[in-house]
Amino acid sequence: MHVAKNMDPEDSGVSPLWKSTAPPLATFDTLKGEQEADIAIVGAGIAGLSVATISASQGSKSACWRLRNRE
Amino acid sequence: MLEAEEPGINATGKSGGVIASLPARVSPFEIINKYGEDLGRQLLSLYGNSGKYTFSLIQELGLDCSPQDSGFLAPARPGKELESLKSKSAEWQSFGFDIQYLDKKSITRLSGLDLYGGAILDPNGGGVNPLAFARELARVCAEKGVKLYTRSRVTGFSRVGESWRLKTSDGQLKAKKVILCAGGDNRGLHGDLEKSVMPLNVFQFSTEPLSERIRETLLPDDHSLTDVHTDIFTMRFDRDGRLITACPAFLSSNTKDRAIYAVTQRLKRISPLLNSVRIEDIWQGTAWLGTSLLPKFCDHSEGLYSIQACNGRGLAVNTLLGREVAQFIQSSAYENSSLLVSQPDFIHPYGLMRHAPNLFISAVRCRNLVIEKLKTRIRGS
Repeated sequence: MHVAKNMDPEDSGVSPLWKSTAPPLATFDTLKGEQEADIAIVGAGIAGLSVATISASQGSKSACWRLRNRE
Repeated sequence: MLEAEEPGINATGKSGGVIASLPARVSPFEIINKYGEDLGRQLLSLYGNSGKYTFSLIQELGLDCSPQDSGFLAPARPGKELESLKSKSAEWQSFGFDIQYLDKKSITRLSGLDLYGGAILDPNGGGVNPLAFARELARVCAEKGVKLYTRSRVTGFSRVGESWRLKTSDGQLKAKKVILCAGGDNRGLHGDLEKSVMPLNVFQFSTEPLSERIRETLLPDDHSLTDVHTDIFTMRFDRDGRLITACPAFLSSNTKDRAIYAVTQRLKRISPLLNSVRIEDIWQGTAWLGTSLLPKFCDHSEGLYSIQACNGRGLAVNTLLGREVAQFIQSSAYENSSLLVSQPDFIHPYGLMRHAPNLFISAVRCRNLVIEKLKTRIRGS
Protein backbone atom coordinates (compact mmCIF):
# COMPACT_ATOMS: atom_id res chain seq x y z
CA MET A 1 0.00 0.00 0.00
CA HIS A 2 1.13 3.51 -0.75
CA VAL A 3 1.12 6.30 1.72
CA ALA A 4 -0.01 9.75 0.74
CA LYS A 5 2.38 12.52 1.58
CA ASN A 6 -0.25 15.11 2.43
CA MET A 7 -2.39 13.35 4.98
CA ASP A 8 -3.59 16.17 7.08
CA PRO A 9 -5.67 14.11 9.49
CA GLU A 10 -9.40 14.78 9.12
CA ASP A 11 -8.82 18.29 7.85
CA SER A 12 -11.88 19.96 6.46
CA GLY A 13 -9.67 22.17 4.35
CA VAL A 14 -9.51 22.60 0.66
CA SER A 15 -7.78 20.20 -1.73
CA PRO A 16 -3.99 20.30 -1.24
CA LEU A 17 -3.65 19.63 -4.98
CA TRP A 18 -5.76 22.59 -6.10
CA LYS A 19 -4.17 24.84 -3.52
CA SER A 20 -0.65 24.01 -4.67
CA THR A 21 -1.49 24.75 -8.33
CA ALA A 22 -3.80 27.79 -7.92
CA PRO A 23 -2.73 31.45 -8.01
CA PRO A 24 -2.41 32.90 -4.51
CA LEU A 25 -5.55 34.27 -2.88
CA ALA A 26 -5.88 38.05 -2.97
CA THR A 27 -6.38 39.82 0.33
CA PHE A 28 -9.94 40.68 1.31
CA ASP A 29 -11.38 42.48 4.33
CA THR A 30 -13.66 41.06 7.00
CA LEU A 31 -17.00 42.82 7.35
CA LYS A 32 -16.77 45.35 10.18
CA GLY A 33 -19.32 47.87 11.37
CA GLU A 34 -22.44 48.73 9.47
CA GLN A 35 -22.33 48.58 5.66
CA GLU A 36 -24.89 48.95 2.93
CA ALA A 37 -25.35 47.46 -0.54
CA ASP A 38 -28.08 47.08 -3.13
CA ILE A 39 -27.48 43.38 -3.47
CA ALA A 40 -25.90 41.06 -0.92
CA ILE A 41 -24.58 37.71 -2.08
CA VAL A 42 -23.97 35.13 0.62
CA GLY A 43 -21.30 32.58 -0.26
CA ALA A 44 -18.31 32.92 -2.61
CA GLY A 45 -18.51 29.53 -4.28
CA ILE A 46 -18.89 29.26 -8.03
CA ALA A 47 -22.59 30.25 -8.06
CA GLY A 48 -22.17 33.41 -5.97
CA LEU A 49 -18.96 34.47 -7.72
CA SER A 50 -20.57 34.03 -11.11
CA VAL A 51 -23.59 36.16 -10.12
CA ALA A 52 -21.23 38.85 -8.78
CA THR A 53 -18.90 38.84 -11.80
CA ILE A 54 -21.70 39.18 -14.32
CA SER A 55 -23.64 41.75 -12.28
CA ALA A 56 -20.51 43.84 -11.99
CA SER A 57 -19.87 43.52 -15.75
CA GLN A 58 -23.26 44.93 -16.68
CA GLY A 59 -22.07 48.46 -17.33
CA SER A 60 -23.12 51.30 -15.07
CA LYS A 61 -25.25 48.99 -12.98
CA SER A 62 -22.07 47.76 -11.36
CA ALA A 63 -22.02 51.03 -9.45
CA CYS A 64 -24.74 49.62 -7.26
CA TRP A 65 -22.27 47.09 -6.02
CA ARG A 66 -20.01 49.62 -4.42
CA LEU A 67 -20.81 49.60 -0.79
CA ARG A 68 -21.30 52.81 1.03
CA ASN A 69 -19.85 53.09 4.45
CA ARG A 70 -22.51 54.50 6.68
CA GLU A 71 -20.13 55.84 9.29
CA MET B 1 -20.63 39.77 -0.99
CA LEU B 2 -20.14 37.85 2.22
CA GLU B 3 -18.05 34.69 2.44
CA ALA B 4 -17.77 32.65 5.65
CA GLU B 5 -14.22 31.48 4.94
CA GLU B 6 -12.46 32.24 1.66
CA PRO B 7 -13.53 32.07 -2.01
CA GLY B 8 -14.03 28.57 -3.38
CA ILE B 9 -13.00 26.79 -0.23
CA ASN B 10 -16.04 24.57 0.11
CA ALA B 11 -17.74 22.36 -2.48
CA THR B 12 -16.09 24.27 -5.36
CA GLY B 13 -12.50 23.81 -4.20
CA LYS B 14 -13.06 20.28 -2.92
CA SER B 15 -14.50 19.01 -6.19
CA GLY B 16 -12.58 17.12 -8.84
CA GLY B 17 -12.93 20.08 -11.21
CA VAL B 18 -15.06 18.28 -13.80
CA ILE B 19 -16.81 20.49 -16.35
CA ALA B 20 -19.80 18.68 -17.85
CA SER B 21 -22.76 20.01 -19.81
CA LEU B 22 -24.84 16.97 -18.88
CA PRO B 23 -26.89 16.55 -15.72
CA ALA B 24 -26.13 13.39 -13.75
CA ARG B 25 -28.70 10.66 -14.48
CA VAL B 26 -31.69 12.69 -15.74
CA SER B 27 -32.57 12.59 -19.45
CA PRO B 28 -33.88 15.55 -21.49
CA PHE B 29 -37.35 14.00 -21.95
CA GLU B 30 -37.61 13.33 -18.21
CA ILE B 31 -36.79 16.97 -17.56
CA ILE B 32 -39.41 18.21 -20.04
CA ASN B 33 -42.01 15.77 -18.67
CA LYS B 34 -41.38 16.78 -15.10
CA TYR B 35 -41.04 20.54 -15.49
CA GLY B 36 -43.12 21.27 -18.58
CA GLU B 37 -42.01 22.94 -21.79
CA ASP B 38 -40.89 26.32 -20.40
CA LEU B 39 -38.90 25.43 -17.31
CA GLY B 40 -37.86 22.11 -18.85
CA ARG B 41 -36.37 23.71 -21.95
CA GLN B 42 -34.69 26.33 -19.83
CA LEU B 43 -33.02 23.66 -17.71
CA LEU B 44 -31.87 21.85 -20.85
CA SER B 45 -30.44 25.03 -22.28
CA LEU B 46 -28.81 25.83 -18.93
CA TYR B 47 -27.07 22.45 -18.93
CA GLY B 48 -26.45 22.03 -22.63
CA ASN B 49 -24.70 25.42 -22.92
CA SER B 50 -22.91 25.39 -19.58
CA GLY B 51 -19.60 23.77 -20.61
CA LYS B 52 -19.10 26.03 -23.59
CA TYR B 53 -20.07 29.11 -21.58
CA THR B 54 -17.73 28.24 -18.70
CA PHE B 55 -14.70 27.88 -20.96
CA SER B 56 -15.57 31.04 -22.90
CA LEU B 57 -15.90 33.02 -19.65
CA ILE B 58 -12.52 31.71 -18.49
CA GLN B 59 -10.97 32.78 -21.76
CA GLU B 60 -12.72 36.15 -21.97
CA LEU B 61 -11.72 37.17 -18.43
CA GLY B 62 -8.26 35.59 -18.73
CA LEU B 63 -8.70 33.41 -15.65
CA ASP B 64 -5.56 31.48 -14.70
CA CYS B 65 -7.19 28.16 -13.75
CA SER B 66 -5.75 25.49 -16.09
CA PRO B 67 -8.84 25.00 -18.28
CA GLN B 68 -8.89 21.77 -20.31
CA ASP B 69 -11.76 21.93 -22.81
CA SER B 70 -11.01 18.48 -24.12
CA GLY B 71 -14.48 16.97 -23.61
CA PHE B 72 -16.36 14.89 -21.06
CA LEU B 73 -17.17 11.16 -21.26
CA ALA B 74 -20.06 9.43 -19.48
CA PRO B 75 -19.52 5.71 -20.17
CA ALA B 76 -21.49 2.65 -19.08
CA ARG B 77 -20.50 -0.98 -18.72
CA PRO B 78 -22.07 -3.46 -21.15
CA GLY B 79 -25.70 -4.03 -20.20
CA LYS B 80 -29.02 -2.27 -20.15
CA GLU B 81 -27.50 1.14 -19.31
CA LEU B 82 -26.17 1.34 -22.88
CA GLU B 83 -29.65 1.60 -24.36
CA SER B 84 -30.43 4.43 -21.99
CA LEU B 85 -27.21 6.24 -23.02
CA LYS B 86 -28.12 5.85 -26.69
CA SER B 87 -31.59 7.30 -26.20
CA LYS B 88 -30.25 10.11 -23.98
CA SER B 89 -27.75 11.21 -26.61
CA ALA B 90 -30.45 11.05 -29.31
CA GLU B 91 -32.70 13.19 -27.10
CA TRP B 92 -29.98 15.82 -26.59
CA GLN B 93 -29.37 15.87 -30.35
CA SER B 94 -33.08 16.32 -31.01
CA PHE B 95 -32.95 19.49 -28.89
CA GLY B 96 -30.01 20.71 -30.97
CA PHE B 97 -27.16 20.00 -28.57
CA ASP B 98 -23.79 18.65 -29.59
CA ILE B 99 -23.86 15.35 -27.71
CA GLN B 100 -22.59 12.13 -29.29
CA TYR B 101 -22.90 8.42 -28.61
CA LEU B 102 -19.67 6.44 -28.70
CA ASP B 103 -19.54 2.70 -29.36
CA LYS B 104 -17.40 0.20 -27.47
CA LYS B 105 -14.41 0.62 -29.76
CA SER B 106 -14.35 4.43 -29.40
CA ILE B 107 -14.84 4.51 -25.62
CA THR B 108 -12.22 1.81 -25.13
CA ARG B 109 -9.72 3.93 -27.04
CA LEU B 110 -10.69 7.28 -25.48
CA SER B 111 -10.77 5.94 -21.91
CA GLY B 112 -7.92 3.46 -22.23
CA LEU B 113 -10.02 1.06 -20.16
CA ASP B 114 -11.31 -2.31 -21.28
CA LEU B 115 -14.39 -1.84 -19.18
CA TYR B 116 -17.12 0.04 -20.96
CA GLY B 117 -19.59 -0.88 -23.70
CA GLY B 118 -20.44 2.64 -24.83
CA ALA B 119 -20.50 6.28 -23.72
CA ILE B 120 -21.94 9.71 -24.17
CA LEU B 121 -19.41 12.29 -25.34
CA ASP B 122 -19.95 15.92 -24.41
CA PRO B 123 -17.37 17.72 -26.57
CA ASN B 124 -17.85 20.96 -24.59
CA GLY B 125 -16.90 19.49 -21.22
CA GLY B 126 -13.51 18.95 -19.65
CA GLY B 127 -11.94 20.18 -16.45
CA VAL B 128 -10.45 23.11 -14.51
CA ASN B 129 -8.62 23.73 -11.28
CA PRO B 130 -11.84 24.67 -9.43
CA LEU B 131 -10.15 26.54 -6.57
CA ALA B 132 -8.14 28.59 -9.07
CA PHE B 133 -11.37 29.28 -11.00
CA ALA B 134 -13.00 30.64 -7.83
CA ARG B 135 -9.95 32.69 -6.78
CA GLU B 136 -9.66 34.19 -10.23
CA LEU B 137 -13.35 35.10 -10.31
CA ALA B 138 -12.92 36.70 -6.88
CA ARG B 139 -9.99 38.73 -8.24
CA VAL B 140 -12.05 39.89 -11.24
CA CYS B 141 -14.99 40.78 -8.96
CA ALA B 142 -12.76 42.96 -6.82
CA GLU B 143 -11.32 44.65 -9.93
CA LYS B 144 -14.84 45.40 -11.15
CA GLY B 145 -15.78 47.06 -7.88
CA VAL B 146 -17.57 44.26 -6.06
CA LYS B 147 -16.90 44.45 -2.36
CA LEU B 148 -16.07 40.93 -1.22
CA TYR B 149 -15.72 40.27 2.50
CA THR B 150 -14.06 37.01 3.55
CA ARG B 151 -14.07 35.33 6.98
CA SER B 152 -17.48 36.99 7.40
CA ARG B 153 -19.94 34.21 8.18
CA VAL B 154 -23.57 35.27 8.19
CA THR B 155 -24.93 34.35 11.61
CA GLY B 156 -28.46 35.54 11.02
CA PHE B 157 -30.57 37.94 9.06
CA SER B 158 -33.86 39.68 9.36
CA ARG B 159 -36.20 41.99 7.54
CA VAL B 160 -36.09 45.55 8.85
CA GLY B 161 -38.43 47.97 7.09
CA GLU B 162 -37.81 47.77 3.35
CA SER B 163 -34.47 45.99 3.52
CA TRP B 164 -32.59 42.99 4.83
CA ARG B 165 -30.03 43.08 7.64
CA LEU B 166 -27.36 40.40 7.51
CA LYS B 167 -25.37 39.92 10.70
CA THR B 168 -21.82 38.63 10.94
CA SER B 169 -19.74 38.36 14.10
CA ASP B 170 -18.12 41.79 13.56
CA GLY B 171 -20.59 43.66 11.44
CA GLN B 172 -23.86 44.13 9.71
CA LEU B 173 -24.80 44.51 6.06
CA LYS B 174 -27.98 46.21 4.95
CA ALA B 175 -29.23 45.25 1.48
CA LYS B 176 -32.38 45.52 -0.63
CA LYS B 177 -31.85 42.14 -2.22
CA VAL B 178 -30.16 39.04 -0.89
CA ILE B 179 -29.06 35.99 -2.89
CA LEU B 180 -28.14 32.91 -0.85
CA CYS B 181 -25.41 31.02 -2.71
CA ALA B 182 -23.81 29.10 0.15
CA GLY B 183 -24.50 25.60 -1.22
CA GLY B 184 -25.14 23.17 1.63
CA ASP B 185 -24.81 26.04 4.11
CA ASN B 186 -28.00 27.58 2.68
CA ARG B 187 -29.75 25.08 4.96
CA GLY B 188 -28.82 27.08 8.03
CA LEU B 189 -29.77 30.41 6.49
CA HIS B 190 -33.44 29.98 5.70
CA GLY B 191 -36.18 27.75 7.12
CA ASP B 192 -37.42 26.70 3.66
CA LEU B 193 -33.97 25.40 2.78
CA GLU B 194 -33.25 23.49 5.97
CA LYS B 195 -34.46 20.19 4.53
CA SER B 196 -33.78 20.83 0.86
CA VAL B 197 -30.56 18.91 0.17
CA MET B 198 -28.89 15.67 1.31
CA PRO B 199 -25.13 15.28 1.80
CA LEU B 200 -23.02 12.77 -0.12
CA ASN B 201 -19.58 12.58 1.42
CA VAL B 202 -16.87 11.93 -1.10
CA PHE B 203 -13.12 11.36 -0.92
CA GLN B 204 -11.09 12.85 -3.77
CA PHE B 205 -7.61 11.63 -4.62
CA SER B 206 -4.77 12.68 -6.85
CA THR B 207 -1.81 10.54 -7.83
CA GLU B 208 1.76 11.50 -8.54
CA PRO B 209 2.21 12.79 -12.12
CA LEU B 210 1.94 9.65 -14.26
CA SER B 211 4.36 8.56 -16.98
CA GLU B 212 3.96 9.36 -20.68
CA ARG B 213 3.50 5.63 -21.29
CA ILE B 214 0.41 5.51 -19.05
CA ARG B 215 -0.99 8.76 -20.41
CA GLU B 216 -0.70 7.60 -24.01
CA THR B 217 -3.19 4.86 -23.15
CA LEU B 218 -5.39 6.29 -20.36
CA LEU B 219 -7.51 9.21 -21.54
CA PRO B 220 -5.10 9.81 -24.45
CA ASP B 221 -7.09 12.87 -25.61
CA ASP B 222 -7.30 14.30 -22.07
CA HIS B 223 -11.06 13.89 -21.55
CA SER B 224 -12.72 13.97 -18.13
CA LEU B 225 -14.61 10.78 -17.38
CA THR B 226 -17.41 10.01 -14.92
CA ASP B 227 -19.29 6.78 -15.48
CA VAL B 228 -23.04 6.42 -14.99
CA HIS B 229 -23.02 3.69 -12.34
CA THR B 230 -24.17 4.13 -8.76
CA ASP B 231 -20.78 3.25 -7.28
CA ILE B 232 -19.46 5.96 -9.54
CA PHE B 233 -15.99 5.85 -11.10
CA THR B 234 -14.43 9.10 -12.20
CA MET B 235 -11.03 10.11 -13.57
CA ARG B 236 -9.28 12.98 -15.26
CA PHE B 237 -5.76 14.32 -15.48
CA ASP B 238 -4.72 17.68 -14.09
CA ARG B 239 -2.40 19.91 -16.13
CA ASP B 240 0.65 18.07 -14.76
CA GLY B 241 -0.60 14.56 -15.51
CA ARG B 242 -1.83 13.66 -12.02
CA LEU B 243 -4.78 11.31 -12.15
CA ILE B 244 -7.72 12.65 -10.14
CA THR B 245 -10.32 10.18 -8.98
CA ALA B 246 -12.97 9.97 -6.27
CA CYS B 247 -14.75 7.50 -4.08
CA PRO B 248 -17.84 8.03 -1.94
CA ALA B 249 -17.12 7.87 1.79
CA PHE B 250 -17.91 4.78 3.86
CA LEU B 251 -20.64 4.48 6.44
CA SER B 252 -18.20 3.98 9.29
CA SER B 253 -14.48 4.36 10.06
CA ASN B 254 -13.88 6.97 7.42
CA THR B 255 -10.14 7.15 7.89
CA LYS B 256 -7.94 8.35 5.10
CA ASP B 257 -5.86 5.15 5.31
CA ARG B 258 -8.95 3.11 4.58
CA ALA B 259 -9.98 5.41 1.74
CA ILE B 260 -6.52 5.21 0.17
CA TYR B 261 -6.51 1.43 0.49
CA ALA B 262 -9.95 1.22 -1.16
CA VAL B 263 -9.06 3.54 -4.02
CA THR B 264 -5.71 1.83 -4.66
CA GLN B 265 -7.47 -1.54 -4.89
CA ARG B 266 -10.06 -0.08 -7.20
CA LEU B 267 -7.49 1.48 -9.54
CA LYS B 268 -5.75 -1.92 -9.73
CA ARG B 269 -9.00 -3.58 -10.74
CA ILE B 270 -9.76 -0.92 -13.32
CA SER B 271 -6.47 -1.04 -15.22
CA PRO B 272 -3.18 -2.94 -14.94
CA LEU B 273 -1.49 0.37 -15.78
CA LEU B 274 -2.60 1.66 -12.39
CA ASN B 275 -1.17 -1.25 -10.41
CA SER B 276 1.41 0.70 -8.51
CA VAL B 277 0.56 4.39 -8.73
CA ARG B 278 1.15 6.46 -5.65
CA ILE B 279 -1.69 8.56 -4.19
CA GLU B 280 -0.16 11.94 -3.42
CA ASP B 281 -3.09 13.92 -2.07
CA ILE B 282 -6.44 13.07 -0.56
CA TRP B 283 -9.23 15.43 0.45
CA GLN B 284 -12.82 15.10 1.50
CA GLY B 285 -15.79 17.08 0.29
CA THR B 286 -19.53 17.00 0.47
CA ALA B 287 -21.78 16.95 -2.57
CA TRP B 288 -25.25 18.28 -1.74
CA LEU B 289 -28.02 16.54 -3.59
CA GLY B 290 -31.56 17.79 -4.15
CA THR B 291 -34.14 15.11 -4.85
CA SER B 292 -34.50 16.38 -8.42
CA LEU B 293 -30.70 16.45 -8.96
CA LEU B 294 -31.24 19.70 -10.86
CA PRO B 295 -30.09 23.22 -10.02
CA LYS B 296 -32.68 25.58 -8.63
CA PHE B 297 -33.18 29.28 -8.33
CA CYS B 298 -35.79 30.06 -5.68
CA ASP B 299 -37.68 33.23 -4.86
CA HIS B 300 -38.43 33.55 -1.14
CA SER B 301 -40.22 36.88 -1.69
CA GLU B 302 -39.31 40.42 -0.57
CA GLY B 303 -36.09 40.35 -2.57
CA LEU B 304 -34.68 37.20 -1.00
CA TYR B 305 -33.46 34.54 -3.44
CA SER B 306 -31.41 31.38 -3.32
CA ILE B 307 -29.41 29.23 -5.70
CA GLN B 308 -29.74 25.65 -4.54
CA ALA B 309 -27.09 22.95 -4.78
CA CYS B 310 -28.14 20.00 -6.87
CA ASN B 311 -25.99 17.02 -7.71
CA GLY B 312 -22.32 17.40 -6.93
CA ARG B 313 -21.49 18.13 -10.58
CA GLY B 314 -22.39 21.75 -10.48
CA LEU B 315 -19.33 23.73 -11.58
CA ALA B 316 -20.40 24.44 -15.16
CA VAL B 317 -24.13 24.67 -14.62
CA ASN B 318 -23.74 27.04 -11.65
CA THR B 319 -21.42 29.26 -13.68
CA LEU B 320 -24.14 29.71 -16.31
CA LEU B 321 -26.97 29.84 -13.76
CA GLY B 322 -25.02 32.66 -12.07
CA ARG B 323 -25.15 34.71 -15.27
CA GLU B 324 -28.90 34.09 -15.65
CA VAL B 325 -29.53 35.08 -12.02
CA ALA B 326 -27.43 38.24 -12.42
CA GLN B 327 -29.54 39.25 -15.43
CA PHE B 328 -32.74 38.37 -13.60
CA ILE B 329 -31.81 40.45 -10.57
CA GLN B 330 -30.89 43.43 -12.75
CA SER B 331 -34.13 43.28 -14.70
CA SER B 332 -35.96 42.57 -11.44
CA ALA B 333 -39.22 41.66 -13.16
CA TYR B 334 -40.26 38.16 -14.10
CA GLU B 335 -41.67 39.20 -17.46
CA ASN B 336 -38.37 40.81 -18.50
CA SER B 337 -36.40 37.74 -17.65
CA SER B 338 -36.13 34.35 -19.23
CA LEU B 339 -35.25 32.81 -15.87
CA LEU B 340 -37.96 30.68 -14.37
CA VAL B 341 -38.19 30.25 -10.67
CA SER B 342 -38.71 26.96 -8.84
CA GLN B 343 -39.56 25.80 -5.35
CA PRO B 344 -36.83 24.32 -3.16
CA ASP B 345 -36.98 20.54 -2.73
CA PHE B 346 -38.49 19.38 0.54
CA ILE B 347 -36.99 16.18 1.82
CA HIS B 348 -39.00 14.19 4.30
CA PRO B 349 -38.29 12.61 6.74
CA TYR B 350 -35.03 14.55 6.70
CA GLY B 351 -33.42 12.90 9.74
CA LEU B 352 -33.49 9.59 7.90
CA MET B 353 -33.16 10.72 4.31
CA ARG B 354 -30.01 12.77 4.89
CA HIS B 355 -28.15 9.46 5.18
CA ALA B 356 -29.71 8.07 2.00
CA PRO B 357 -27.03 8.96 -0.59
CA ASN B 358 -24.08 7.35 1.25
CA LEU B 359 -26.28 4.47 2.44
CA PHE B 360 -27.51 3.73 -1.06
CA ILE B 361 -24.02 3.70 -2.53
CA SER B 362 -22.79 1.45 0.28
CA ALA B 363 -25.63 -1.00 -0.43
CA VAL B 364 -24.76 -1.11 -4.13
CA ARG B 365 -21.08 -1.56 -3.24
CA CYS B 366 -21.92 -4.53 -1.00
CA ARG B 367 -24.03 -6.08 -3.75
CA ASN B 368 -21.23 -5.64 -6.32
CA LEU B 369 -18.75 -7.17 -3.89
CA VAL B 370 -20.95 -10.22 -3.35
CA ILE B 371 -21.44 -10.65 -7.11
CA GLU B 372 -17.69 -10.36 -7.66
CA LYS B 373 -16.97 -12.94 -4.93
CA LEU B 374 -19.54 -15.33 -6.40
CA LYS B 375 -18.06 -14.94 -9.88
CA THR B 376 -14.57 -15.67 -8.54
CA ARG B 377 -15.89 -18.72 -6.75
CA ILE B 378 -17.68 -20.00 -9.86
CA ARG B 379 -14.55 -19.44 -11.96
CA GLY B 380 -12.47 -21.19 -9.28
CA SER B 381 -14.65 -24.27 -9.05
